[in-house]
Amino acid sequence: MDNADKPIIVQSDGSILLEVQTPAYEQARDAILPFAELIKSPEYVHTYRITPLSIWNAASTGMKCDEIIEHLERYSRYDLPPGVVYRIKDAFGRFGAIRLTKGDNNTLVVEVNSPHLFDEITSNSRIKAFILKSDPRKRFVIPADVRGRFKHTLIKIGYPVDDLVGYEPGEALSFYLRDVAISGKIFGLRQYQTEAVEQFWAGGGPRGGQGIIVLPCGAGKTIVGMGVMAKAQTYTLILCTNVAAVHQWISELIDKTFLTREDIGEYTGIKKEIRPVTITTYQILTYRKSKNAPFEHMNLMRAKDWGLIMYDEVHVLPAPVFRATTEIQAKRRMGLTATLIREDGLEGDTFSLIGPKCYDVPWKELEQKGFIAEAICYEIRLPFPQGKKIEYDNATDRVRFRVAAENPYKDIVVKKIIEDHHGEPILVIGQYINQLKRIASLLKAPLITGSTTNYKRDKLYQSFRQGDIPVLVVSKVANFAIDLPDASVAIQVSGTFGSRQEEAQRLGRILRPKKRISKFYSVVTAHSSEEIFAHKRQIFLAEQGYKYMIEDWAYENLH
Amino acid sequence: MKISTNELIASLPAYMVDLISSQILGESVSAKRLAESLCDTNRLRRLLDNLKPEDKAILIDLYELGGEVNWSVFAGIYQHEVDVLKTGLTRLGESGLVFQGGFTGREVIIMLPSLFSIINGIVAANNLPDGDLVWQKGHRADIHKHILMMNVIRSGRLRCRSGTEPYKKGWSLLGGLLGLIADVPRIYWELVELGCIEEENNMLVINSGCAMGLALDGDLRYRIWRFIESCKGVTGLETEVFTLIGDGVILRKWLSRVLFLYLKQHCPRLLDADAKVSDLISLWLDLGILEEDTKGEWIRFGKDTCTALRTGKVEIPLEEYQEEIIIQPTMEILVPMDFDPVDHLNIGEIADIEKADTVSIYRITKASVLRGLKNGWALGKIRNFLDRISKHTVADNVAKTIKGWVEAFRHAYIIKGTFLVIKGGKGRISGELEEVLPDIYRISDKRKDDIITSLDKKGIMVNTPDASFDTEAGIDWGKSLPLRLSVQPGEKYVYPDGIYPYGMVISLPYGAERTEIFQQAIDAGSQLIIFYPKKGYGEIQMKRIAPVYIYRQAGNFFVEAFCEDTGEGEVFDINKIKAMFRYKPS
Repeated sequence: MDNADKPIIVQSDGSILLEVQTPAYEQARDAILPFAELIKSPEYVHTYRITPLSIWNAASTGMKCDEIIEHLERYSRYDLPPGVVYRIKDAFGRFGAIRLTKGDNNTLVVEVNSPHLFDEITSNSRIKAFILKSDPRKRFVIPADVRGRFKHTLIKIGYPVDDLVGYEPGEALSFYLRDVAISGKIFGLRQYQTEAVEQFWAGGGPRGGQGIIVLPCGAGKTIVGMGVMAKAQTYTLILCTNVAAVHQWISELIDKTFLTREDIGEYTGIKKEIRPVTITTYQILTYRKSKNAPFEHMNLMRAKDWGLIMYDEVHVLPAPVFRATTEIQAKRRMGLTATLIREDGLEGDTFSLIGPKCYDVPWKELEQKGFIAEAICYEIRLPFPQGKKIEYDNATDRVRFRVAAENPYKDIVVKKIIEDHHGEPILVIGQYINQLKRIASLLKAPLITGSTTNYKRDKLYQSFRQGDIPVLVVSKVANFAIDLPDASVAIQVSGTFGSRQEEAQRLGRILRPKKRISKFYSVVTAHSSEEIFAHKRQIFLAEQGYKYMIEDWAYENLH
Repeated sequence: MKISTNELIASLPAYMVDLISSQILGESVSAKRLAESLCDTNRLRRLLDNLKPEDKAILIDLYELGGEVNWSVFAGIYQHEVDVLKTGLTRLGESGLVFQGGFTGREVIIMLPSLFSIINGIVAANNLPDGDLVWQKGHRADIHKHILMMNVIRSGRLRCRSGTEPYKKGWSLLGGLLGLIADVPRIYWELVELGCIEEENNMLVINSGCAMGLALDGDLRYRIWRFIESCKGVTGLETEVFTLIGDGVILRKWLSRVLFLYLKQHCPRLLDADAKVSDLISLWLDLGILEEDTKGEWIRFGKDTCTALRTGKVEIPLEEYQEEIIIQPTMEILVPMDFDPVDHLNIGEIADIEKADTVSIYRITKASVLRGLKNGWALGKIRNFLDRISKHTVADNVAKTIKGWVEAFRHAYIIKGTFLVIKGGKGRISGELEEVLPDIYRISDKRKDDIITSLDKKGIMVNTPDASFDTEAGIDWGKSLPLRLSVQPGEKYVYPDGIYPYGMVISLPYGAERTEIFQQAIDAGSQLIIFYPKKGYGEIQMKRIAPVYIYRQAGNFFVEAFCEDTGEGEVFDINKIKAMFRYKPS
């Protein structure tokens, strides 16, 4: 391979640029994926980053340091920066330097591979507090119940722990997947889903059983979860982001496994069922009456002899759940997410307490194979109506955004788009209830907001799925984990101030596989503060690799 | 070499020819015969073949020093081995290969000019490689990082002290963005020296003319500039190196020695010349001015450098630069380090640098587009530029977003114009002129000359402002190319006291040793040949004497001796004896 044709460029800060339209793109991508995190994937050049965590993730799968460097050298267009090679070796050297194994009498043995490192970590006051006894400069013993806190403390000082203690099996549960779902559809795990399950399970040994599966929205993370449950055959606790997602999990489990409704508990604000498979929300777990009161429902984590705990959308895992997770390190733990990036930067906590990334597949690959839908994003820019411009100019910054977001011309555009997509299932998503009410009324479409009861929400979702309702207007309550299989058009009329997560989740609503190309419209007011936030969203979506088109609508188009 | 063999022989005092020829050739011959023998190539080759290695090294050093060198310089070169030098030179002097002017022993050392062509051949043969050489494709200095720094300064709006020194914050920004890949202070001050970075109202600004000059002239011109800059302080060093290597190859150790000699000759006070030479060669290799073979033994000029130094034409093959880059739909521009510097510089006018690295990342922002517009870019120009440099079609959202920003800017204009100021001009000037203020009329540049002529005819003298000069001068690279070989003959040494084979004429030592020489001769009953001034004229004459008695009078030592030349006894003031001839020990 000629150097100019080589697809990757390794930067001095450890980021990797991967040029997509090169002959060796796919091989290079597969080669670097195990040890580099995908940061963004715009159309031409994808950016990955090598971090200590990504190196430890790779090391935990058994990859060798030389392999990493060899892969980089093979596909790199330019010489590797020496600093990067040094940092890889340094990070790699840290993994496995500290091993955690089972000891006697409810203790754990910490083995340290060098006296120098032993001195370094045992001189840390927080680590010192865990030590029961020590064998000078080689190993020391800690109580079994501090396993999580010990690992968490070590990661803070830059050392991952090779946790080989193993897991409690949990109470046995007979759990099997159906070949034909109750809905009548043929059911089976796709190849990448099977791979994800196997990677996580790792033959049932101590090397597996903890970790995070990274799959794009619509790629079937729920199915992977069920695959793991089928391996574990044990009582399982599933933590989700909201009630709609809980219901979604319940209906999926009933549809695709031999569990009955009686086997599945819903532990939410409405119901408090604790059953062999219990599904709850982060919100209920972290609920407390006052700021200083205890978390009333956190005991759920220990209410049964769970053998597996699953964290859906693990990138939004709240801090109290992290803390609770430190106490249940003897349980198998699986995180499901579309992105490892946390807005709060707590990726290290995720690594140490839930586990390393154990499977990742780029969405583009799934899109090419037809497992998720192809999507195009459109930004439609509108002028202000005459009077609104004056109101906008005279308003404060915060009000300005709202004035622009609620531009009445948007109603006309939404109507026009819906006419253009006649017959397709369409979601209209917005931030401001008054605006949504206005649009819902104009379109004669149902509206789901925070005040809509869960029963009504489920009913509307069901009608939308069945095609009885062609257009559904939703507020931000629909951002997370609802499954609307046939939505192929989403129209965003207003949003929060450029949140990346919100944008990803909204887009995720139309990514379920389908024959037609999905369309995601953002309607914004031109030359306003809304356009600035729209620009941030534009950048984010472009970073995800979506085609982003901009259309300017003039007064003439609107009258 | 400033002296010819004939001049050299002519400088030998006639009365010494006998003595010298008998010492060198073993027989007393005429001056003509002595000259013929000294020039005899076969004899010289034979002598050279039989020289001790250390003597040969001294001779070759002398050759590299141009055949003539001041004693102090030569002694400085051999500063830790002056005795070895003296011994070697004495042996060479006895063979008539090296001479020295005057009697003091501290004057110029001269190599026999006839040796030049022979040693030239030896040196050339030594610098012929045995077989084909494999050359390293080493690093070559480029202006990529300079362009990056200028683009950082463009988008960074850095304040500075007088003297173009950025504040700590500025250094921190430059270091933060460029520190991983560049020696920030060096590049910064190079740009200041080249005139690319200037100070304007306590802000750092880029001089567009110089910056573009740097980008247009490219990497090779920059490398040559660095090469010439590195030679500053040592007159003619760059020319010496170029003359020495030229199109050919040279042994690295040979080059080191020659440069060492050159430095010692031109900067005698330079300490640690060895280290300086080593640093210079490493620098030139790093710059890509010189190339090295894979074994690190041989060195040559880079082909393009050699051509540029010889012809003055600095041409870089187009294929050296990438001409296309990737513009991402995220508004990012990815610029590899081998991208065309002119286009790279232009990118900095319309995009902000976010990361400088192997591939640098720029982002097109609203502010950067505004900056571009202020610098004379228009929407069409931006579009065309991006279309031309982009490897792929520029994404729709990028083009539309830029268009949106450009359209959102409100414009005000500052116009340059020519105005005629004339009090009570109405009636005297054409009614078509537009009076913009009382007595001030705007006139078009095209009609300016006509109006001046017309007013002149009416007896009104028109004062015009001085012609304005273009303040954006191009880059000044200092020494121009091609390198011109030095043809100045240099100062010719004058040898009033004559030239003698090295070591044959020695000055008298100071102190007690001075009288001891005569006492020893008295004790041994031997003769001495002394150089003694004639009474009254100061002219030196040679005297063959047999010392008899030493005495002291009025604080001075005198020697009473029998003079073989006059056949009489004479008294000589020992302090006035200039030197004495030293016989070769038989």
